[in-house]
Amino acid sequence: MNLISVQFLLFCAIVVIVFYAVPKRFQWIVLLAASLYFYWTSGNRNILFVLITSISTYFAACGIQKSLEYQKAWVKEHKGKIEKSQIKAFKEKCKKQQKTILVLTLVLNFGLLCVFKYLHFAVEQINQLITSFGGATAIPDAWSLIVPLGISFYTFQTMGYLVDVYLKKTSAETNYFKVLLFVSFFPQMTQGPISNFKFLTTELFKEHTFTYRQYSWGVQRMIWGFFKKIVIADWMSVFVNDVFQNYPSYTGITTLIGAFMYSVQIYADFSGYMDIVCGFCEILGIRLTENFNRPYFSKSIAEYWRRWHISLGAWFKTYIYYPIALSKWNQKLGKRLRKVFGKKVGQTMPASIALVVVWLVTGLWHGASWAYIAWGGVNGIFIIFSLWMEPVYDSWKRKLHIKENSFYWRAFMTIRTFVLVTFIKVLPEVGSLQDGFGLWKQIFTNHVIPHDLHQLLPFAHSKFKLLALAVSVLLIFITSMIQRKQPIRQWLEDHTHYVTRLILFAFAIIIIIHVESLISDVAGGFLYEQF
Amino acid sequence: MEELLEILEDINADVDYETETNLIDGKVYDSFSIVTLITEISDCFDIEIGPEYLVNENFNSAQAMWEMIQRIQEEDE
Amino acid sequence: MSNFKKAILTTVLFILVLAAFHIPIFACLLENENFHYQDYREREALSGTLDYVVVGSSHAMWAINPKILDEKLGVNSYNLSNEWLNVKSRYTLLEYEIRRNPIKTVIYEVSYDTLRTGDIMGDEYALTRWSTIPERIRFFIHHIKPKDYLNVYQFLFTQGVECAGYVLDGTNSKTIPNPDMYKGYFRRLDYDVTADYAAIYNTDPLEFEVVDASMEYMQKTVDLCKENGIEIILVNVPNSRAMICRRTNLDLYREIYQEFADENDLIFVDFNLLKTKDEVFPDKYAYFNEEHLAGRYANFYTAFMVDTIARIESGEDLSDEFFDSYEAYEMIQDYYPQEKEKAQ
Repeated sequence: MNLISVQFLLFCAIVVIVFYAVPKRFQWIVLLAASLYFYWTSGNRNILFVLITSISTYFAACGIQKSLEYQKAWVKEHKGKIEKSQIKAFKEKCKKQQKTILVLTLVLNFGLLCVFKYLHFAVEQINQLITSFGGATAIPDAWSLIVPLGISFYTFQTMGYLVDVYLKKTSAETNYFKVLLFVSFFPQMTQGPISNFKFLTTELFKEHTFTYRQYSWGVQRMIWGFFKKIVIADWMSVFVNDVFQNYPSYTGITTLIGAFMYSVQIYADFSGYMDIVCGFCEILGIRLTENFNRPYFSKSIAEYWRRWHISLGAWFKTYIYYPIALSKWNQKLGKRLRKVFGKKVGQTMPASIALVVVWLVTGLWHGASWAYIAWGGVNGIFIIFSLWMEPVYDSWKRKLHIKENSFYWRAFMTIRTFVLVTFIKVLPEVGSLQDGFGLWKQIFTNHVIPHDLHQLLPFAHSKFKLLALAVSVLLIFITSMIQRKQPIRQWLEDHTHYVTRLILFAFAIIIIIHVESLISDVAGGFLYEQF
Repeated sequence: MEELLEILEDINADVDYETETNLIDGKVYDSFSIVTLITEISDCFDIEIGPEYLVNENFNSAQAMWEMIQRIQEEDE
Repeated sequence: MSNFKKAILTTVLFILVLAAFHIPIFACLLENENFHYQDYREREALSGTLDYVVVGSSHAMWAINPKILDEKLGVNSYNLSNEWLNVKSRYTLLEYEIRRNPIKTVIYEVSYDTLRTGDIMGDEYALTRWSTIPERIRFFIHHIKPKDYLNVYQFLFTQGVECAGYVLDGTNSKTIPNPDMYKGYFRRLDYDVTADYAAIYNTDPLEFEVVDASMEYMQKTVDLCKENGIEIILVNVPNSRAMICRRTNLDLYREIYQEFADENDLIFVDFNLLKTKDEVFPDKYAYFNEEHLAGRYANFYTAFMVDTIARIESGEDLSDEFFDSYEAYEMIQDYYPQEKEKAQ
């Protein structure tokens, strides 16, 4: 079921009504039923994979938990009665058991994910390798499988839960259906966020009381999300796709504008989705983790990745970065390097190694292609580079008497970061990696100055529409600025009248409907030029 | 405790560790600093900080860190 | 007030405000002739005087000019066509006008996709062509399927916003009559169709099923005309050489119309098969796109059509002046692949 559709809105309305109609202790069951139905409509076969993940995780988590409890009880019973070494040996045996369960389940679930997402890519690479050595393609390349909805998100979320149980950060859930809901919670299926088990289950299984504020704020947020997604993102994508397809015949400046528009578009798209999903959950009294925190106001790439797709970054930090950076072999390496090269190198190298892994995997998570892996790598290089250069930058700042808190410095760093982020972001989105580099090249090497507005913005056919789009983007900027001090909905409540708000949001819906019908491809096509 | 404060000052001297109780949740320490901190603590106190201790509550203040270190040291005995 | 009551109240108020926003938009739509095919006031005014009517899809809408019909035949004619107008809606419109006008002749335009009515819209245009709200509602209920409701709403909404623009501009047709509209006929002055015929030959197959309802309503239309002593003539207006080259299966539909015409004893003229079509209606000048005649040539075509029909009615045999089939026409074209001939 597409989030941007009347069916989805109807579905949401029904879920809300039923959710608040049933006794509070059954509310989560309503969510479970809704999630299964939602998933069922996305493709009947796909529900099988959600079941595999939830069942395997349920049993693995319970198994690990049982083993941990048995271990604890046994140690407590035998402490002081037998040799320390024996206790240690027993602990090791238990740990090995738990680890086996963990690893098998991880392999099963990540394996499924890899088969769906990466098998085609892997086969392609192997075949290319073979042909480059002169052989005939060994493996038939019919492996493009339809990826089950949300598999990237729910696999990560669920495996995070399993690892948390193994690491004793949380105890295993004994009710299978609660685990199933955690895996399949439908608002998160399309674009996340990837939630932490403790956090999400607290929200899901508590008792929810209907309040007017949750309802009105939730609806406001949903409308805002639709506005961003349809009026800004979808509309801009028409322009951006035009530039991505035709940049060789456009000026460098036009191509650069297209790249910046892409940055705005993807932010409006992704964060708009998040607003719809979070707004809907807010109506239900469920708080989801935020995925965005005004990311284009970041002053460094590292900061940017703490403000963009926050839940993914947090997952990678918790389950890949820290385990690698704090692993024994990495720490040993750090110690050895410190002896030879000094403290700075000893500290920075283990972090750098962890970062390399994180960023290559992040790239791969975003897409099964060399372009995305390269994109991940470029992000990683920038972050690692600035990590190593930090003392150098600090000394430059001191010499130039630059105040970190000065407005001009912060503005400079913000703009610099936005430009950098745009260039990196655009690389895998044009097409192949070569297309991405081609776009960069066009921006830097084409110095033609456009002689009129039409040459500057060849994709814009109407001045009015361009102006309307610019106003919408300005609106995002203004609300972001307000948001720095207080939630925008609070600001609205404090500064506007109830009726004004009704009119404002109704007007927003009118605009959304109008733009949606302009863009959408309807049979009979009013996308096409009117005769 | 003194050694702990030394490590902390070394990583970020701008923080008042007597009063600050929001080092992690308040994003005062980024992930690089956290890795450095954990490495230094394990090295200095010769302990292994197991993953179950890697939660925000244990690192939000100098006091919380000190208590965690003592707990781990007790367990090892 | 309880949370719940407040929420309900806000929701209801919100819906009311939303509805209120729609009122000026749809009012602008209903009041404007700028919006294509919004001709109900014009037909109201002419009601009781029309004796010659053209009905068809956009092909006829752009090709047949009532001004020429009036001059040549001394009639009071009207072009009831609109884009995508399907057979069922044609029947509805025609039946309405027959009831209130002394119609004697109907030119019924048929082309390759007239009988495909299942999935093509066109009713959303026809929806706006009724005089009163009850009439519109009746048309809506009888012609528009639930699955198309959202599309129709979006369509009317978008057109309404456009009309609001005209009203604000001062360019709506109440203030400034549209010179390109005349009694249901629309005129476009641009032209030029060029194509690489060899490259596009037979690249666009027409593969759709004839909907039963279409044949049923076409028969009903003919029966209605006969009951009222009206002569109904089937025509297929000229399309460009490029269109004929591009499409396949054109004979399939021509044969259906020919059979229908024979069964019902009607005149059927397919002007695409005029042997001199490409000289008389050359691609480069006569069409503004592959399927529609440009303004200057529409006038010429209307006159030509009237003359041709008159000649047929007087008993003249015009079979030498037309090809028998699209295949016969294509076989002598330079884009016709020689290998095919050899294979045959």
